[in-house]
Amino acid sequence: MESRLVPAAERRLSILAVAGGVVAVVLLAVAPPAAYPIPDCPFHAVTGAYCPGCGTLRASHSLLGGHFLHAVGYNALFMLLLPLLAWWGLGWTRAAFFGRNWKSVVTPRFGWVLLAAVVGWWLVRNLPWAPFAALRPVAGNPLLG
Amino acid sequence: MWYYAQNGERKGPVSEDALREMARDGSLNPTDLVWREGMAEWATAELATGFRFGGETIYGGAAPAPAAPSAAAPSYGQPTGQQASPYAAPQAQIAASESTTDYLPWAIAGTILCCVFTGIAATVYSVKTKSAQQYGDWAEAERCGRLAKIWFWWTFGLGFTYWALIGSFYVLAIASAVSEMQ
Repeated sequence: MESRLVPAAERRLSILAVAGGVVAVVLLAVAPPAAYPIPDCPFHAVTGAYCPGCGTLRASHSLLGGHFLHAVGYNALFMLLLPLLAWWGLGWTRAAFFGRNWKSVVTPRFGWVLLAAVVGWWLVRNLPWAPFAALRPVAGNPLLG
Repeated sequence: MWYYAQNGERKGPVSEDALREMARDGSLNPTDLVWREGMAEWATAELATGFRFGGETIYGGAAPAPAAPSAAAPSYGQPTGQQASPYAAPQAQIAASESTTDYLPWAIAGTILCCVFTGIAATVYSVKTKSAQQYGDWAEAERCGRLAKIWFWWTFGLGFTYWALIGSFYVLAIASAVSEMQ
């Protein structure tokens, strides 16, 4: 059935995403952030609050350097979702390569849970009280030492 | 309680667990039509249930096409006794909905990796698309699918620009460091 093709634009996109991922991994592996500071997230720069993704780049860098706990400290949600995102990325890329359609085998309920997790994470890491400081990607987070 | 259609016959009701077991052992195909209370139309099992089928990746292999219902296909009728003829009509819509791209992974990734607001919009509409497909509401599925696509492309465009800028910043910084060392 022709209708099972992943649309051409989206298929090219997965190639772009894979290429971008490879470049990102190489850059993060060769560039120590102490020497090349990671730019501030635009949301954080404008509002002073942390977005759900703040710390993702530092987390990726820590993970590539083998510092798993630091990675969790920088962005625990990203680390939690990473296996799922990797699994989805593989499925999509494989389907695109073979010209097939692909659907995440996920119920709508699980989709809402994911969304709630992202929004909840966003709120909780910006709460000004003590225990939540551990969720921010800055000094004061015990995981970052 | 689920109803399902095979070989031009309506079968059931069976419990959700029984239907899941049928999907697992291969006696229910991903392309078989199923229906339960609350669904506007019959929908293919793969869209309506999200079960795993026969232990393999359902979207990978070429699923056997269902016997195309002719114009004289029997109307299964919905078990509630409504007059609707849910079988013949939605075939084209089911074909359309099977080709709907599922943007959920990209939407979630985009929310975390760059653009919170557009990413959340894309996520909401991706999940709504899935939800509408599950309930056989094809008009709503198409509407939400279109919006999911629009928000996905905004997220992707912004994210790509942002990361490309950061990437080139890194490349320039490393290149200048290397040239200073020489």
